[in-house]
Amino acid sequence: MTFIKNDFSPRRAINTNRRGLLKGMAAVAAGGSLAATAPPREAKAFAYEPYPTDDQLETVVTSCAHNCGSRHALIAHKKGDVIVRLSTDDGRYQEGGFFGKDTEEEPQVRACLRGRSYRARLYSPERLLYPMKRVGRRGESKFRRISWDQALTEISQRMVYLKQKYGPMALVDQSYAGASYGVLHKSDQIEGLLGRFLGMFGCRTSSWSVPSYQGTTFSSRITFGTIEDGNEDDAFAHSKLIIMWGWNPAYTFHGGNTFYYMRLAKQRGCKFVLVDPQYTDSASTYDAWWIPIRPNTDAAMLAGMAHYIFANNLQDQNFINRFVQGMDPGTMPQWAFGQESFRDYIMGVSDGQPKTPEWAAKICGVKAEDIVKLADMYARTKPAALKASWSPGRNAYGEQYNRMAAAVQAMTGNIGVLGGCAEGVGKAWHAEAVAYPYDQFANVWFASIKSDRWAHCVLNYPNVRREEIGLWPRQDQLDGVIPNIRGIFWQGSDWLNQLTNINKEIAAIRHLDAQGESESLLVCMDSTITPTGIWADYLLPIATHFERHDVALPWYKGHYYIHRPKVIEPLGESKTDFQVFTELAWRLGFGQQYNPRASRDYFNNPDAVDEAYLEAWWRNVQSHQHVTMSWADFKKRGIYKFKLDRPHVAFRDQVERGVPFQTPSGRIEIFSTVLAQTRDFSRTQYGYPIPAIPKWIEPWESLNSPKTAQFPFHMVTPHPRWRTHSIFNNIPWLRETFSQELTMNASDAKKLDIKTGDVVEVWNDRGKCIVPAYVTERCMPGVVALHEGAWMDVDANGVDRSGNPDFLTLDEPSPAGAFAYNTILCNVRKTTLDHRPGWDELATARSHVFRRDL
Amino acid sequence: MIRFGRLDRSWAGAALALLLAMAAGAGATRAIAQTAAGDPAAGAKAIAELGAVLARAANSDYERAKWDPIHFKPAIDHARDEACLVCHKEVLETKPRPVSPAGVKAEQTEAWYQTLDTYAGAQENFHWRHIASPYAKQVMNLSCNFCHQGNDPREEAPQDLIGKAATTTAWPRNAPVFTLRKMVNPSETCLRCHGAFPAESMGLPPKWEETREGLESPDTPNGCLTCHAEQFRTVRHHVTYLNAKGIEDAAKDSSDACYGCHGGRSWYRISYPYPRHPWPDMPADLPDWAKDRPKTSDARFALPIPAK
Amino acid sequence: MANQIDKARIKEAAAKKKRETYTPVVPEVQLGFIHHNVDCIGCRACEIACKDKNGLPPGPRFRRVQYIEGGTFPEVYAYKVNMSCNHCAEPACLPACPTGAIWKRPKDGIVDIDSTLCIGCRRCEATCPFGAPQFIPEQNVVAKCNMCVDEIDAGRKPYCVMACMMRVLDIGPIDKIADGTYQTKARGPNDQVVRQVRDMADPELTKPSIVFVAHSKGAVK
Repeated sequence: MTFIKNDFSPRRAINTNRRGLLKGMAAVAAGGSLAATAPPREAKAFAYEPYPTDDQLETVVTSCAHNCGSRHALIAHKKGDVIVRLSTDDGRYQEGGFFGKDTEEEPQVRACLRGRSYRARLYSPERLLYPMKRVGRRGESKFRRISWDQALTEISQRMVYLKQKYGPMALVDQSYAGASYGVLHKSDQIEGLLGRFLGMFGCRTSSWSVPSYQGTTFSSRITFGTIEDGNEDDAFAHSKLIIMWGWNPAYTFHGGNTFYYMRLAKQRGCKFVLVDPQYTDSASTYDAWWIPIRPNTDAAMLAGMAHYIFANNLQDQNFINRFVQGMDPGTMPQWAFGQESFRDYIMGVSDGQPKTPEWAAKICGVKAEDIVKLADMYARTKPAALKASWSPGRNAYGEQYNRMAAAVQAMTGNIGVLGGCAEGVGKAWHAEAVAYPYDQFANVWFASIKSDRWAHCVLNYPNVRREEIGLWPRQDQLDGVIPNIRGIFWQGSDWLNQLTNINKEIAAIRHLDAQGESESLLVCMDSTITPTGIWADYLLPIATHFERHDVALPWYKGHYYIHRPKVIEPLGESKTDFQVFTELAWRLGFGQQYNPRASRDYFNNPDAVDEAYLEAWWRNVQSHQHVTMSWADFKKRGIYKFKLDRPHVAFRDQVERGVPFQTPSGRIEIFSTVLAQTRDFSRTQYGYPIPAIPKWIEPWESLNSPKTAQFPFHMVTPHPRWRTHSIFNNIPWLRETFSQELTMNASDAKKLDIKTGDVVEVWNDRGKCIVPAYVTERCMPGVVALHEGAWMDVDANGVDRSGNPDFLTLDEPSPAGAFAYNTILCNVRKTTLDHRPGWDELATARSHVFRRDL
Repeated sequence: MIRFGRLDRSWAGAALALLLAMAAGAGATRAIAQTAAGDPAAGAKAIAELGAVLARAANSDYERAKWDPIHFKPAIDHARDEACLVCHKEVLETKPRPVSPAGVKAEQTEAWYQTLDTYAGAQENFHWRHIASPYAKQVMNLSCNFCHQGNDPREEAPQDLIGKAATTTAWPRNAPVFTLRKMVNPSETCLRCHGAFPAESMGLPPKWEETREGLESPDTPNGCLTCHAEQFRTVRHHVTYLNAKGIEDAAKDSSDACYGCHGGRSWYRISYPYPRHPWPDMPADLPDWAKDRPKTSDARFALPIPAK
Repeated sequence: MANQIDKARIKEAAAKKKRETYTPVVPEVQLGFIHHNVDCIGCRACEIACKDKNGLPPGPRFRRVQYIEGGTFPEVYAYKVNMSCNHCAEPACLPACPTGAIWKRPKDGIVDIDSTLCIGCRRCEATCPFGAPQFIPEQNVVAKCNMCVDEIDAGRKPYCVMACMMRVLDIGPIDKIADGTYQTKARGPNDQVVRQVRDMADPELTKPSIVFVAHSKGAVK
């Protein structure tokens, strides 16, 4: 299977009729006499080339779909059943809208570069159009086309066989948000369509830890009792100080208009600070004070700040006394009186080590005076937003960083006030999110493991202890039973490429291979071929969001809904996930229960049923969210933007009106009731102890560990802006603007005789990848950065030529489940091995002798 | 296995005498490493040598080729055209389309240079006309690195190019060697010949294309020589990138030899601030427009002093 | 006889005309771009929107957001310069074109190439000081930004401007943008605009219709 065609050109792919029309026009043009510099008599745009203007095309409002944390409008301009181009929100499509309307209360929701490239993905050569069955070895990329009937028959038969032979935990649910984030067609790790399907079938091992932000989720839940600890994006415009802790909204966007509201804040005098090993574009845009920090030492620096604040009595003691549990001895719960409070820990009362800025400086590499300066600035500027992002949480003990940040946010009283920030996860406005059937089967599982431990489980079964795989406790006889994993469903998920330690995952698949062809099952459901799909037994072509009816919602920040009609008919034989699961459920005997509004004809005609689900959902929107617009009006307009009375700020009700926090104590729990009362962590999903208060815990590898003798660089693996994880890696428009490359500091590079553009190998004892270097002063010495999500391309020796950092990551999650994506020591050297960027890079060669198609 | 497109090396192979390359291969690379350790200029020169370029091209892929040190200072200063053409020979070979997509025939259109006496023939590509055409050979002596003083695949700001210290020193006024979005710095390359004609500096009416007619006859085909044959003589053409003698000879027969660069279809609305070489009996008081100008051509274009 | 003289005279006049230098069109209004070099996050949504609008393959990039960075760790800086065609007041590309495929609209000063009339001689590409004309090797023609004339004629703004998530890119009458009388979000309340930034070709060459809010390190002089 060829991933990349050399001659990809949307113009060719889509407007194939244009060339023909051109020829027809040739005679007309040639007739005119064209003197040297005299323009044609009536110089007119598109005089010779037929070119449909937007107003001559059919306009359909829709949105982007992939789960990057934002959601923006896309306007499809189509002719017949072909999307000719995409534009985005220009203010026209909401109620009372007009071209150019773009106010602070109701801003346009403009799509990012990824969203704008969707047409290239929709019509890409990598689209899956037919069900495919593997004919070669797993991972060998050999497939043949089969019918839907054959695919679903064989899959359902294998499912029944595996369930009967290996039990109700044989199939792992690895659904993720790659195919969809809509209210109806939802691929979701925990409660999506796949989870419900496998749960009803009675054979499901769930994957509970979320790769992006499990450490942060844990912190938010433990501290505030909810992950809805976020402000809406417009609240950022009201801060006087924004500390971007490992946060790069210039790359991740993170909400409808977060980045733009921060620009408004800057215009209003807000100061910005970036704590990050890299001087990111967010730092330059917001003119931030850059504090380079050693990766995975954030909790220590925050502890140093807390020390300064306590030592100088700069904390908001009134806020602490009213709202916080365990910040200091005076706020400890009665039942834990005398146990170690956060202040005891910070001041060294309990362990004899005050967590002074000087102590922190030795760990995190930030000068003590800078820690002091930042702490002072944060404590004295009101309101100030310390945005503790997810990325530093994707670390060994990443949850401790997020909890420490929450403690610092709480001690300065920046919670529940406009311009402050309690994030954390940062999920803000509560949307009406579910249109698909949601009932007691929404999340049925028979085992649930830490998501990146499946390979470990497969390779070591049955000699696996429950804490090794983070087995979630149950109240029945299945508690503690190690799953005998025999299959994986990848729904909108590229997890083989995206989880940690890919070499170990490949070994696990080989281990399954060795048990015999019929003893396991790997199914990949996606709209394009993916690096994960290469390893599947069956590839099921899934309709994109342009090809099915749905409603989009921002799940992170932004308060609007975007109608997503079926813009075009599904390409090839693609079907929606919901159609596939419904049909499989019919074959397995629970079709009616799985999709109660549908008959078996749903596989062929889903439109009326989808409409009914969505209309019912809109009735919920109307009643729960006080919306008076009719469903028909919403469909006609395309976007519904909520106008909030005032910017949504998390925990405003708690702080202003005394509503209890959703924690056991009703207070912000810096001292966690749940953790303090847990006696045996090996019986919990965490497996290993977690302290009741946030603490600095030395990670298993960092620039401070002895392993640096062998592997002197710490690698971080941030989210790229030209992909959503691995999605869009195949889009030439995006690839030509950004390269997969290893960012490294100039002084480090000089020592290794590496210049920008040199191909280097990056390796540690887990794996190796090949990638060009980008040498810059914008990265701190000792740190290298490699963006996650490159499509793996493994050579015969197990070396990845695409530059995928997950060949080097460790599949050992933090106790709370945080993926250790940023806890990587490695080494770097110039290499003669070849990097393969995975697309036809030569198509953009300025010198066209390099272009082989000419 | 996954195939990510054809990433073979045929692009290089076609351009090469492979046997030569292999023979030169390992040895050349080693030699470069040794010289580079000592004298940087010698190292840069070695990198730009034809044999070394051939060797690297044979053992490179596109990813490596585009970052080859010959594209950067200081090696590019030593690059001879043959070395550039190992990979970039298409710059001399490509042709305009005979017919535009809508049917405009190239032969029925006339490029401005075709209206001049100094050019005969069909429309040709820009590089060929500047380097390889008969007229270019007669009056110019342009090499690739006259215009191309560096190229960053990122195409960003030259100051931040690798080895950035070397990128600005060779130019007057510390100008960048290429500009944003442009592979060259037009003010220091194109403008030397394609600037506006400052007729007013010479006290002439602004429309030189009309003025010249009154100065030309079959006996004196070049109106420029009315003044510039004897009265005003400069040595501006005595630079490495021009063939001064060829220009003088051509000027005798046709004013287009002058007009092609001075006063014709200028690309730009300003003119190049040429150096003002002193000539015998040059008036002591300089006109305003000439006041800040240098008195000699750029050192990098200086010709060896001819033996008397 | 008289006819012959006339013909000869006309031919001569035409030849003379052709050899003349070019007199630029002076438009009723000159539209131009403004870009905020600092507040731009460099996401390149404008570039991709442009690619999609114009159906471009990989290779030609009508618009380009350039990443400029410098300094020495930890005192570093970065900014972006975003340029497409600058629709110059006195474009160099136009008189270079042998087929008349390039023209400047008297109404708004937009410089457009009708690529269907292009024979791919690439002279416009050579003359442009700002790298705007883009060669498309597959077709052997040159194409470039036309400021989305179809959108302008429809009373809207180009795709790149409407794509800008940070609202740092805009168009308008360039003289009004330059003197600050044109309302635009691209320019912040305290920002000044400049015609040239560091490493940009001299604007005097062609008088490009673009201004920038420059980074302090990107200021010229």
